[in-house]
Amino acid sequence: MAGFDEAWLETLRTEHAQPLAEKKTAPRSLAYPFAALSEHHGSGSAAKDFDWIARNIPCQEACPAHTNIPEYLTAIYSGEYDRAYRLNLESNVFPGVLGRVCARPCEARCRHGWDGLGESVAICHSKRAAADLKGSDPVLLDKWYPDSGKMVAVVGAGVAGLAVARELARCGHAVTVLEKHSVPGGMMNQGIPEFRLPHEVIEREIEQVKLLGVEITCGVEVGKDITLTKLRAANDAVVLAAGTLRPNLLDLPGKELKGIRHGLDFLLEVNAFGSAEIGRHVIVIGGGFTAMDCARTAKRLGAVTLAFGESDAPGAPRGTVLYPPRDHVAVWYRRTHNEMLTTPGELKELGHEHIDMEFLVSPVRYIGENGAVTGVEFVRNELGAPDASGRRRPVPVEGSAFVVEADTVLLATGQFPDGEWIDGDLKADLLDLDRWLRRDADGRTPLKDIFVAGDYAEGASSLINAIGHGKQVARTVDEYLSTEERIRDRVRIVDAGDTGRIREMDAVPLQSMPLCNVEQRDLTAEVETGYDAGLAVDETQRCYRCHYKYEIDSDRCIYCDWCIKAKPRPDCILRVKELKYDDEGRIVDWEEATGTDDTNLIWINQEDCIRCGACLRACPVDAISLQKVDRETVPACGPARRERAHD
Amino acid sequence: MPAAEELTAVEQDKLDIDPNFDFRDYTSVDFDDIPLNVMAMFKWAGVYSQLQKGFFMIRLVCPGGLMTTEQFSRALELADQYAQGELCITTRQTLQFHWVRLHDIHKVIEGMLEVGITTKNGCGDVTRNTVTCEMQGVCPHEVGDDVRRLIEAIANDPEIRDQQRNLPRKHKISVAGCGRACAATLINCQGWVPVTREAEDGSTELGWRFHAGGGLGSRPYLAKVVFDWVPCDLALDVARATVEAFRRHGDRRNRAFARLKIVVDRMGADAFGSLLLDILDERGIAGLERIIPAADPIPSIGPSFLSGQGALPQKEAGLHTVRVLIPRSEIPTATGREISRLAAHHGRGEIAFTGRQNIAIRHVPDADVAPLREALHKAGLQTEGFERGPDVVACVGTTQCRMAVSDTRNACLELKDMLQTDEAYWDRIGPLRIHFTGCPNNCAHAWSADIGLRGRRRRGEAGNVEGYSLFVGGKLSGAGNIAEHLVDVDSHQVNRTVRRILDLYLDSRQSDDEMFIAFIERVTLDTVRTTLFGPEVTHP
Repeated sequence: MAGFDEAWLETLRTEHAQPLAEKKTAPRSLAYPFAALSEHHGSGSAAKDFDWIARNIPCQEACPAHTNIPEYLTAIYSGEYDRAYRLNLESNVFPGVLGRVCARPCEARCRHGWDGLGESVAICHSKRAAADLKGSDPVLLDKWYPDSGKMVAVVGAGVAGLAVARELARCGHAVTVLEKHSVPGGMMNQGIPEFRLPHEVIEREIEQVKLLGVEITCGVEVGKDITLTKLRAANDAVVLAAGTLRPNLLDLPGKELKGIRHGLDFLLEVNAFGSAEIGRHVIVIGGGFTAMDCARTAKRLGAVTLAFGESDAPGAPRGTVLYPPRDHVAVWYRRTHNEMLTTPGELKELGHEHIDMEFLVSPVRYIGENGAVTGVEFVRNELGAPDASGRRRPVPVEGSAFVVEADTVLLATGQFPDGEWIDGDLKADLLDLDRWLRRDADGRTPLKDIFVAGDYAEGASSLINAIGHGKQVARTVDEYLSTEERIRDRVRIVDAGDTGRIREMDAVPLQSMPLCNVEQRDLTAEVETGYDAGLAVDETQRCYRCHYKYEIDSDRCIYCDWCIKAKPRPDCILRVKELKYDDEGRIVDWEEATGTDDTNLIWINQEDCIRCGACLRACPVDAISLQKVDRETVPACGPARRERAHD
Repeated sequence: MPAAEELTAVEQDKLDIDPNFDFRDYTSVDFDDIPLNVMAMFKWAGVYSQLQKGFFMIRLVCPGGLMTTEQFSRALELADQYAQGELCITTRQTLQFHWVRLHDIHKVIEGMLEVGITTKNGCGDVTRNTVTCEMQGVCPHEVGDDVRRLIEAIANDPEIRDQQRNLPRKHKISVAGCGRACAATLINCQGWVPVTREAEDGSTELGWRFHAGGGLGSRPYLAKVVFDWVPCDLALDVARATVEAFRRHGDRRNRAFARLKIVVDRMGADAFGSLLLDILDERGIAGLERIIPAADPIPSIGPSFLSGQGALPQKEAGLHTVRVLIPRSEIPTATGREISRLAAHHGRGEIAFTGRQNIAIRHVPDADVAPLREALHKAGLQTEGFERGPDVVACVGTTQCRMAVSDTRNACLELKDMLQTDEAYWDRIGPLRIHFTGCPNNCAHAWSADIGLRGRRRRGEAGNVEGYSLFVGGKLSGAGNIAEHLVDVDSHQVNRTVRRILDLYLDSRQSDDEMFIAFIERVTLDTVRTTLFGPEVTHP
C-alpha cells in the first residue's frame, strides 16, 4: 500500500500472534464437529444428516413412507393443496385413502403432543384436506427413468403391491399386477367399510398408478390360473404382495358352529354385496381396526346387541396392528381406551353409534343349538403378576364364567400370509416350516428374482406400513434389475428467512373432524366429512414445522446468553461443557456446564426446540441461522436421469 | 383463520402493572418475593436490578446533563449512605447509583426529589433523558437561544413525560446547540439541530432541522434528516408527534426491532415526515405549511467543536467552562464532593455531565481557571486528554451489569493506564475516541467510536475465553459512520492490538492533520486488517 514502510509492515506481520487459528480453517460446516449437518448448504447424505431428520422431525421418522409432513402441512396452510397432495403422493402413494384410514404413527410422535405442549397436530385429517381440496385430478408423477425393457409381475393389488408397482413403473420397468379379486385395492376395499373409505377415493388413486403405465389384471388367481413358476419365467422379477388371507381362528370348543366367522370375510362380503346375514346378536372378538369395523358394520346391518371379547391369538406375529401380540392386548384392555390399537377417535364414534364394549373378558367356548352358534361363554379376568415382558397378565377369575347370547361371532383375531398357492418346487425355497415367507428386511427371498412385499412379508399391519415396505422393496427390485442403486435419499439444506409461524399458533386448539349425524349413518355414508379450507388452515397452522433448523454459529456467538434468556423451554438451548459423539460423528449426549467459565458452547438442542424463533430474534450478533431441512428421494444415476416435475 | 397476534408478555405487563411505584411499599418485602415482571417494571421509575442479587441501580433524569452543586452534593450524600460511596456518569449525561438495596430505593428517590431531581423515566420504554452538548447554553458557537427552552419543554411536557409511558421501546432525544456533532445527533431517535435562515423581511430567523431514526444497540442505525426546517413554535409539537408515531408504528412483537430507528428505516425519511405531518394535522396543529420536509435525508453534521480543550471559553465574556476527566465514569464521593466544592467556589455552582462521562464546571471566571485546574490536580483529577487517548468511555461491564459478557471496567483501566502514561504518544495521535461496551446493547457507544470494543466470548479448548470484537471507523459527523469490525481479540490482547492500530496510523497517516477516521477511510478497513494481521484473517 502506498505510504507504508514495507519493512515496518513486515515486522508487524511477523510479530502478529493473534490466536485466530479457528478462523483460518475450512468452511464452518466441515470444521465443526458439533454442526448439526454434514453440509452447511445444498445436500448431504452422511449418517448425521439422516440422523438429524430422524431425531428432529419425529412425525416424518415415524411415517413408514417418510412423508414430508411439515412441508405438506405448510403447503396446506398456504392454500397450496395441489402441492401438498403431490408431496404426499410422492411418499405414500394413496394420500386420499390414508387421509381417512391411516394408522397415524406420525401423530403419536408429533412434537406438539409432547408433555406440556398440547395435542398432536391432526396430520391425517389435514392430509385428507389436501386430497379433497386439490384442484387437479388425476395427479401424475414424472418417471425417474425411461423404459428399461424389464418386466415385473406383482402378485396382489393391495397397497403394498400397488406401491411396488408404481415405484417400479417410475423406474422405467413394465409392471403387471395380478389380482385374484374382481377389483384392485386389497384391504382398502375388502377390509375397510365404505362408510370410512369411499370406493371412489380408492379408485381415483389406483387410477393414478395405472396412468403411470402399471397394468392391473383382476380375476387372475396365481397358483390356480397361472403358476408362480410360469409367472417367474415370463418376467425378469416377481414381487409377491398377496397380503394376509389366512385367518387366525380361535381354537375353542364349538368352533365348528355355524355363525362363527372371520371378521375380514364378513367385511369383504358386505363390501361386495352390501349385506350379510348376521341375526340380531353379534359378538366381535378382538380389539383392533378390524374389530371396530366389524362392530360398526354389524350395527349398520341391524344387529341389536354387540359385544366384544378379549381373546388370545396364538401365533400372531408380534407388533402387527390388526391383532397385536398377547402382552400388548393386555396393556390395551388393562388400562384405558386410549391405549387400544384403533384409529384415534374411533372408540368415541362407537359410543355415538351406541355400541357397548367389554373389557377384561376372555371367550372360553362357543355354545350352540342345531349346529348354529347361540352364545359365547366368557370368563372375567383380573390383572395378575407381570409376565416375561414385565406387563401384568390377565388371570381368569374363578367362578366368573358367564354366557352372552349370539347369532353371529365375528373373529377379528388377525390373519397371516397364505403360501399354499405357491407351486411345489418354489414353496420349499420360499416358505419356512411355519409357513411364513423367507425374506430379508428389504424383501429379498432365497430366489434372487422373487421378492416379497407388504403384509405378505411382514404380517398383517397397517396400510402405511405396507406402503412403506413396498417402496423399499421396489428399490431392491430396481437395484436387482439395473445392477446399481438408482434411487437414493438425501437431505436438502436451504437457508430460510422465516418459518411463517407466530407463537400464537401454538395455542390454537386441535380441530375436530366434522362428522355426519348418527341417524344418517348407513353402510355407505361417509362418517367423517372432512375439513373445509377454513378448518384446514386452523389445524395446519398448529404444526411446529420441525423441518426448520435453528443453529448457533459458534464462531459468531459471543456467549451473551440473550437466546437463553428468550428460550421457551428449559432444555432447548443449553450451556454445554462438552458434546459427546458416536463413531459416525453424531451427537449422542452432552454435559451441561455448571457456570460461565466452563461453558464451551451455547448450543441449541434441536430435539427439544419447538421452532418458535425466539432465539433467532434475540441474538444480537446474527449468530443463529435458520434453515429448512428436507429429506428427498432422487434418481441418483443413469444417462436418462430426469428431474422430477414440481421439485 | 390464522391465529391472531396477541400481546407479548412484556407488552401485557406494561398494561397491567402501574409503573408509578411507591418504593416504601417494598421496604419490608423480600427480594425473592417480587415477581420478575414487576421488577422489570421498576425500570420505569429509574430502578434496575443489578447483576448482584438484591442490589439495584438507580438512574437519575437530568435533562441536558445540567445539575447544580446542591443537587450533586445531595447525590453524593445519598451515594455515601446507600450506594457504597460512588456515583457513575452515563453517556446520556446523568448519574447512576449502584449497589442500592431494595429497602433503600425510596430513600434515594425521595432524597433526590427534595432537590428537584427525579428518577421517573430513567429507564423503561419511555422517552429517556434528553442529551445535548456539554456546552449547551454557554457555547460561543451555539445557534440562537432556543436550545434550553426546547430541552426543558420536552422534559416537562405532560404528554411525553406522563402519558407516553407505554412506548414499544425506549426513545431517545438529542437537542444540539449547533450543527456540530457534540450532541451525538445521529445516534438518537430524535435529533434536533438549531438552524437559521434569512426571513422575508431580511432578518435572521431561528428554527430547527429535525433528524430521526438514529440509534445504536445491537443493530445500529444513523439518523436521517426528516425536516429541513421546523419553526421554533412547532418543535415541541413535532417532538410529540414523533413519539406518537413511534407509539403507533413501533414493532411491539419483537423488541430487537422495536426502536424508532427501525420504523424510520423501513418507512424512509420522506414517508416518516409525511406521517408526522398527518399526526400533527390530526391534532389540529396550525401552521404546518411552515415545516419544510428534507430535500435530502442524508445528514450533514459538522465535526465536534470539542477536541481536547481542558477549558473552553463561554460566550459570556470572561467566563470559561473547565473540564474534569473522570476515570471510567466513576466518581468516588470524596472526589465528587471536592469537585462540587470547587464548582461552587470557582464557578456559579453549576456543572454538566458530558456524553463522554466527564464533568464540566461552568461559569468559571477567567482568573479562576488556572487555580481551579490546579486544585483539581491536587485532588488527583486530570484536566487534559479529552477526546484523546486517556478519555476512554466504558460501561460498567460484568462488574455490575447482568447483560455484560466482558469486564470492560478492567480493560478500560488497563488501556487508559497504557495510554495515559505516554502523554507524548497520545498527544501525537490527537483526537481519538475509544469506547468499551460490555455487551451488544452498546451502552458505551462502541459503534460510533474511532475504536470501539464490544464484549464477546469465544469458544476455548475448554470453556470459553473473554475478549472483545474490535470495531474501527465510527463517526458522528457528516452523514456519520458505524464502526466496522476489524478483528476479535482476547482481553489480554486489547492493549497490544490497540497500540498496533495506533502505531500503524501514526506511521502511515499522510500528515499530522489526517485524523484517525480519515486515515481509516483512506486506506480501507481490509488493508488495515491485512496489514496488521495477515491475509488469512477474515471477517468472522
